Amino acid sequence: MASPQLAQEAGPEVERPPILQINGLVVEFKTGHGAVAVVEDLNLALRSGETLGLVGESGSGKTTTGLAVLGLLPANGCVSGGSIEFDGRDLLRESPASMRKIRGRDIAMIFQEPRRSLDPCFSIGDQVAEVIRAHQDVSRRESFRLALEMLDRVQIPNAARRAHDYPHEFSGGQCQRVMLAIALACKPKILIADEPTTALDVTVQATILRLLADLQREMDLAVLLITHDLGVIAETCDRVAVMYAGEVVEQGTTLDLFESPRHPYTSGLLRSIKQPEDGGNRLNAIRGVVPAPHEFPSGCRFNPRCDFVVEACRSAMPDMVELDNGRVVRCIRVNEITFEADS
Amino acid sequence: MARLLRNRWAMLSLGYIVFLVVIALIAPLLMTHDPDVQDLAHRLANPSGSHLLGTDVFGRDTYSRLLSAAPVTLFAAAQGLGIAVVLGIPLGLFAGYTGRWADSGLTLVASAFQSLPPLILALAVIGMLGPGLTNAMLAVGITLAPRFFRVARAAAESIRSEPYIEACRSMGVPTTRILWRHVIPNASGSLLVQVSFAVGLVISAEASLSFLGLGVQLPQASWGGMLQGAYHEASRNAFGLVPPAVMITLTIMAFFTLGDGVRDALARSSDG
Amino acid sequence: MTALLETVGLSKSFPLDRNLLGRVTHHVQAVNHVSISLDVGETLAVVGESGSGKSTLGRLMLRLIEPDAGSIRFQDVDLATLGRSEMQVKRQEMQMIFQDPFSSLDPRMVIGEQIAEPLKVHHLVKGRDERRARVMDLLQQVGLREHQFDRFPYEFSGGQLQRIAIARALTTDPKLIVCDEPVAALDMSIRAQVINLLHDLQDSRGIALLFISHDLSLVRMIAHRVAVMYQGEIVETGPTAQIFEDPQHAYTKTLLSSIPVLDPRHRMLLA
Repeated sequence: MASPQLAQEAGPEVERPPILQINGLVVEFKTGHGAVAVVEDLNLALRSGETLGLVGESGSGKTTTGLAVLGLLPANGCVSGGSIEFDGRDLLRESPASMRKIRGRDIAMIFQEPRRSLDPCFSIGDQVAEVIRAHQDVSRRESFRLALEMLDRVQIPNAARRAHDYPHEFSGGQCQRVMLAIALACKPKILIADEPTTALDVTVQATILRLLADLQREMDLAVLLITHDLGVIAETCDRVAVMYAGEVVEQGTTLDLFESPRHPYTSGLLRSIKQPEDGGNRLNAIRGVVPAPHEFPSGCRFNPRCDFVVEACRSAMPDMVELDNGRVVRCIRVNEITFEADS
Repeated sequence: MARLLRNRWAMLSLGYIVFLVVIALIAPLLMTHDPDVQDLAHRLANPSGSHLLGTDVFGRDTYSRLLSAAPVTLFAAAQGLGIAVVLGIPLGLFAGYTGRWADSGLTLVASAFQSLPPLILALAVIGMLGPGLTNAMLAVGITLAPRFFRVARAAAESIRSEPYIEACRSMGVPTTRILWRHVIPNASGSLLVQVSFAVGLVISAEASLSFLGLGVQLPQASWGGMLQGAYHEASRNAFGLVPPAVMITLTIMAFFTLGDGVRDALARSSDG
Repeated sequence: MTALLETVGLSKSFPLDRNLLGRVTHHVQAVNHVSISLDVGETLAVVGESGSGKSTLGRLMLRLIEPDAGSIRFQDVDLATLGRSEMQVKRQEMQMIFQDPFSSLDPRMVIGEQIAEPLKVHHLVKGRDERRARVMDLLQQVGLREHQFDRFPYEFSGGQLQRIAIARALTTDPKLIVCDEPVAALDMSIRAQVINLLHDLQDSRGIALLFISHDLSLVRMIAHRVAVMYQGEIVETGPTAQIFEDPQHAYTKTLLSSIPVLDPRHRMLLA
């Protein structure tokens, strides 16, 4: 068994300036119920060499956030507010042509279903080489050679031979490695990974997460890891932002958040997946249901399900409260509530 | 359903079809002349006050004949469609749901029928049974049945692998009930699309057969028959081609457009 | 005491390729000589990754698929000896809940009718009003409201649909419910609710649960016993605590060491 490793304590003195800064992002979708904001007031900062986890359930807006950064929102979605600063520019104001250059070369993305993200008609070597040629002025032969290097790096065994094989000849885990090769072929500065291991078996997940960590160290990547799996967050992320119903409700270092969550939703989530304290069989469930975007409650969006709700929670949307060590919590009662310490 | 209502072209087509059905029902009330009465003094006349769309080669009022042909055409369409549906859908559903031998056997038969050129099959049937609208529609129905067979089969096959069907089986629901209460309602959407397109094809086939003199028998008017008559006299007065051609084209287009609309509405609702 | 459900040497293979003559050239052995047992009122978890055969095993247990070899004894009756109509009656005692709540219910039928369907099919209740009353009762038991009888599946959330599926499984008062990844497709904050519901029903009605899952951390919290499957075979069985604290088989150990730990201070995966 692998030996345990202590998570890095990131103190303020080793923090580098953010390479990606999202400010006040608002994303709207045109639905049958009119224009609905699925992401609101989102502030995130991503740093090189750091993994930021974005965790939430369905309807939380986490995937939409990732897509918005790369300008890949579907036809009925649009950004209606905020800015995304990268390399001194606001990505939301860039032209489609310059966004195309940025995608793949500076910022890359991998998705949940690796098999569906690969074109079944082309060999994996060709697909990696294609991305290289799109951003670098090299010959076909040279791009294929670089592709082979990349496939080697993501630990595809026998890369030279297997580069000519087609996606259906690979397993899910291997396809995800190929996706990583494609995403990182042009050495981007930022990688957005949207549920990269959700569709994979748990043993395969472990190997992919290890690979991702290795590549991040080698390339000093900034990684935005979007997932619903708190276990993955605990294992891989330095910092984490918890999203609920389109908003970030808590943000901080992984250590802090897991040891002492300050938002009722975060605390509820952590408790629901842990062994019940009293040794009984009943799990600690959060009551109620996750609201759909067109039915977000007024005031704090978590209030119908919150055990600590008061009248003021229903009237106005809480602002983010800054606590120490970079922690922010969206709760008006944050300084009053304490949660039972989990052993 | 709501999505369909929002599709303007589909609604226009539906409106036209409803309008046509109403006209067909009250046709006798709208006619200005008896459609079969000949008026040899006024042959191949152009539209005028007394003959809204002119007259044909025998001096019969085109407008009235057009009207009297409407119920005939629609009835013929219903006949042909009915036969195709009754032959194709139950067998297709059965083949798709059951699979294996039944499926292979029935599909082979359907392919065989589908490979026969439709018009030739129609001629063969009519040759055996004699001309007439019903026989012609029987032939048309037989040629269209394989299409319905295929669509019903595909629908049943895809529905069969749905978890809710497996759930029914796990609850001990008998196969007949599964087919009747679960497969058919869920297949009805794609089948409805096929029906819309098929109606267009049936009308077209009827028009062709009547044009060839094999469908509706004179003196009863049918749009195809009128087209044939006008075609023969085109050198003397080509206007006669216009009314039946327009009616045939418009009606077929309406059904096709409606079919498109239903299909689009279904596709989007399955995306959620 | 005889077990509620017992399988001996259960095997099933699926053909991958046939030659021109129709003979099977390649096949995949989905389930290979599986012998397990389940007691009354017990929760047995069958865990494994994709391709382990756990879903196939669940379906074999209910005779939704016919085994190639081996026997299944339910309430001390060999299921293979039952004819079609007898099996139909037996199905009342053994129900199933599926992974995807959105597709395990007929989208074109109101949920009340779907819950009532087993009542109709097995002639358990006479008369529409009586049936409706029974369904209302069941809706309440799973935490839904009576007026939702006439709604269609698309009007509900995943968690609610799974409750409806559970209500439907309860109509015939089964002794065994096979749960095939019942919460995998649900949001995290909803999973605990559904698991608690299953647990309460087990307590109040004494239903045995065959819990098929890939989620080991979940299984740890609700199963009495665990069977670990790998490539069609059971590699290890035992009480939950024992499996997690003292695994014997190499695959079990690999599986357990791959579970992400919820403690950032003691990471296991990234060494």
